[in-house]
Amino acid sequence: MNARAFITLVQELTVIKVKFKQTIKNNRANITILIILIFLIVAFFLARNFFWSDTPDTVVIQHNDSIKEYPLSEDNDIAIMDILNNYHNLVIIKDGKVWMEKADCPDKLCMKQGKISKEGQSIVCLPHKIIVSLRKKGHSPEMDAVAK
Amino acid sequence: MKSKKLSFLGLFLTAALILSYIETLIPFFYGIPGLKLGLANAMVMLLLYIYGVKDCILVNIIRILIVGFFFGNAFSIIYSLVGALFSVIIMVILKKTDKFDLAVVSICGGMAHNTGQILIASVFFGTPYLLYYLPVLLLSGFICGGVIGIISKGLVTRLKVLLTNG
Repeated sequence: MNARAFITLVQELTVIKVKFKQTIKNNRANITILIILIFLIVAFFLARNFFWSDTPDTVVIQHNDSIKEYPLSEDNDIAIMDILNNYHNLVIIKDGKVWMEKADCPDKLCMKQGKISKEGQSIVCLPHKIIVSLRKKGHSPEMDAVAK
Repeated sequence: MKSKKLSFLGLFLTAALILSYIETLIPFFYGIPGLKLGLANAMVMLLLYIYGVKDCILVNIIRILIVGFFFGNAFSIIYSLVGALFSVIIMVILKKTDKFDLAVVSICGGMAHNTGQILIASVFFGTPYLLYYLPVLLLSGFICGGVIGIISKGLVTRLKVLLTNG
């Protein structure tokens, strides 16, 4: 590399640097809010892992106002009916994983939510007001208090 | 002038409806309840920046009701309305300050939308366990809001001259 090329390179770099500083100066509010938002997201991820990071042992099925618990270690097929004994959903517990096998709602979003195996994860069915969640027994009792 | 504006609002409503429909066709789900692209938000941004708050809210409410009756149910209408309420409030406030880029406003709107939806779902089910998905939904709101924001920024700069002068 000869000297002239080097000097042009340095000049170009200075121009880029000045432009970069200008851009940052003009967009200070934008950049600040973006950094705050990114910190917020990271903080929420950390908080979540802080609250829910154990291996779950209980499957909690909340359907309307009834709450039932099943052990995660035992394989199980649970049919969910409404008060008129109309069959709605089928929840399957197998090998430490839980999933919604069948649903009679039109969108089948609960089936698309796949298999869950970590503490805190849930399968949600909005039309039938069902929520299947994985928890650790005796963990965070204040959460259960809120649930009632 | 008034009839021209009215017809353009109708056109935007139609475009927003089509975008909402396209969104139901995209399987943008990956096992997380509530995750979506928010294509119709591009139209909301356009209305907010070209016509103002009132028209934006009006068209948005009509859009949510029509989409709800066509593709969803009573629950999905409530969730959409709450999400829209959260995002519009945040976006109007940020726009009023006049300090933020359109894309940044859109990002905040997307995150507010997802927060609102997860909160109303938690209230509806009476359990805090849905908050497990809050971080993921915030992240998706950030990314999707950013993408939609960049798209709508391009649209606004090109269409604003056309719609206000012509």
